[in-house]
Amino acid sequence: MSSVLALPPAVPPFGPEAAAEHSSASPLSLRTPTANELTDKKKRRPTFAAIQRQVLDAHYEHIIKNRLGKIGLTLPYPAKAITSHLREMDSRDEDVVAQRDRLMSLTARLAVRTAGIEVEEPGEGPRRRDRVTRLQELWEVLEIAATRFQETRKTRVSSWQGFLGLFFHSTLDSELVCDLGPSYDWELTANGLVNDAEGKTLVRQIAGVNQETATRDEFLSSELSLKEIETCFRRYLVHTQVVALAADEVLDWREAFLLYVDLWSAASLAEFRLRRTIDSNRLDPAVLAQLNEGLRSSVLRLRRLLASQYSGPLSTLRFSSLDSRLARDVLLEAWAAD
Amino acid sequence: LTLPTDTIIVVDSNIVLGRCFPPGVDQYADVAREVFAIIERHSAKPCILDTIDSEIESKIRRRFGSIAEACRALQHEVESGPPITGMDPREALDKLTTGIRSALPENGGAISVIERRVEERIRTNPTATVDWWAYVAYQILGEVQACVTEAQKQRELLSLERVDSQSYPKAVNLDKLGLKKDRAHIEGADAFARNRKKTIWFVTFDSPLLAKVERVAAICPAVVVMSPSSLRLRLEPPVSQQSS
Repeated sequence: MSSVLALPPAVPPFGPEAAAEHSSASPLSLRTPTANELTDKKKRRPTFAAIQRQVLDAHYEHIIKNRLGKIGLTLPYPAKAITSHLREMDSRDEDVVAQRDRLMSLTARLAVRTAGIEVEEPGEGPRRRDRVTRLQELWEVLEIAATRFQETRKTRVSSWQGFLGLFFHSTLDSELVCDLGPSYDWELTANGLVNDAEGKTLVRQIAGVNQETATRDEFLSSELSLKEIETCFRRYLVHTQVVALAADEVLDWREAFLLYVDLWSAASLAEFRLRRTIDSNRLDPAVLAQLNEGLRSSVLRLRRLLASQYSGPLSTLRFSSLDSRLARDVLLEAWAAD
Repeated sequence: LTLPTDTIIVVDSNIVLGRCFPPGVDQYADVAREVFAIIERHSAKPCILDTIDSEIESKIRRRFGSIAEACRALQHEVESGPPITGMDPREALDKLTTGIRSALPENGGAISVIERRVEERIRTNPTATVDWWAYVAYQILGEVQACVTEAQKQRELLSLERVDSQSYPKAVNLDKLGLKKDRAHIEGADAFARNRKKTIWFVTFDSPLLAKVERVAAICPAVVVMSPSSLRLRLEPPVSQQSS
């Protein structure tokens, strides 16, 4: 078992008893939306709720454009109908909705704090633009990023369990396990590693300490000027976003593959996202090969990026069930203390 | 002795794979480690051809994909039969791994590693299930995936220098030597060596290729095919030979 993923379910998710269940929710990207994407030009101080709605709308738009778009075929149903079906399926399970709402809320908070956007919220008056406030915001960014990663991981575990079930209940090429499966490991490892490594670097730089990391108090007592703090933070943002983009590309290709298998093998739109035995005869081997090639290339790019930028921490990781010290714990361990 | 400046060392896919897999999974693991150690001792950078790089990826997939396939076939057999009741985890693991070994006798090392990890997981993470067979089958699949990711990670950390041999026109045709996949590697290495005025030491475990060392040398003088032992003797000759 990969150490970034949890135990597979004790009961296979694709067993006959689970035939009526729907598959896991559409996974959200890990890139943090920028201020431009979130700021409503007409309204200077948006509410958190409005930002969350924006993030959610952008998520479904992204599925149609960037994931289904990779398939390169005319959609079998109107895009609007697919989006509305996806939204409905993602809202069926209370736990899934709660998890999605947590992720949306974290993503919105992360974006707001990262970009320093003013929000209209009870108890959230106009923020002072001073060093102490900014340091508090940045510490909060690190905490939110860690929590968001944990929540994201749960959604990927759910998707991964669905993939294993799909493999067992299909006649898809067995080498898929060696392409799709590791793509989960690499995507999660990338985000865990970079958040941990860059987060620690940022804390060290701002707190001005040499040890591996620093406490919240040391961080908030930084002697750097606001300009120097922003320079350190911009470096952190650039580094984390480069890896998040590469990891999101892996996610998009994998999702494109899974969406193709699910949507194009479904007898009707109503069957889409229901767990069922996949009829591979409905699928075009050339399209499967093209999507798999896209996934392989994106994983390879991510692997090379991590090996070139983070070879030290990468070399200490061992993908095995016997070692649980990987991305899933490392972030919270780093930031939870304060 | 040091490596001549115009010479680069290209390692074959079997050597890279031996370095990526743990000793239990690959019979060449120890010798492969030694090859890399020799290269490092001489401050050289191990290289791979682009064609070898693709071969490494597909060999990793094939080795572990076949285990996933065998596991799925056993799962399908069980699903089409009467429900299994009263099977404990040990029994499920024994039956599944025996079935996979029968289907893939050549893959015993990898199966043993996976079996050991699943056994460890079952022992240290007690769980309640009515269907141990399905549980263990899922665990095996998860371990297959972990092995692939780990091998990919090891391959990246080797920092191999990639030689783009396919960007040079081929000058020789080794069709008559019957080298199968190695033919593309040697022809590509020859094209690279001629264009870049380099000598390539091509280190491999591959017996059919090693059996044709002299014939390859006659056609591609800039490509020297050698075994790991030959590499060592060239770079680290016995003391008596050094003094003479």
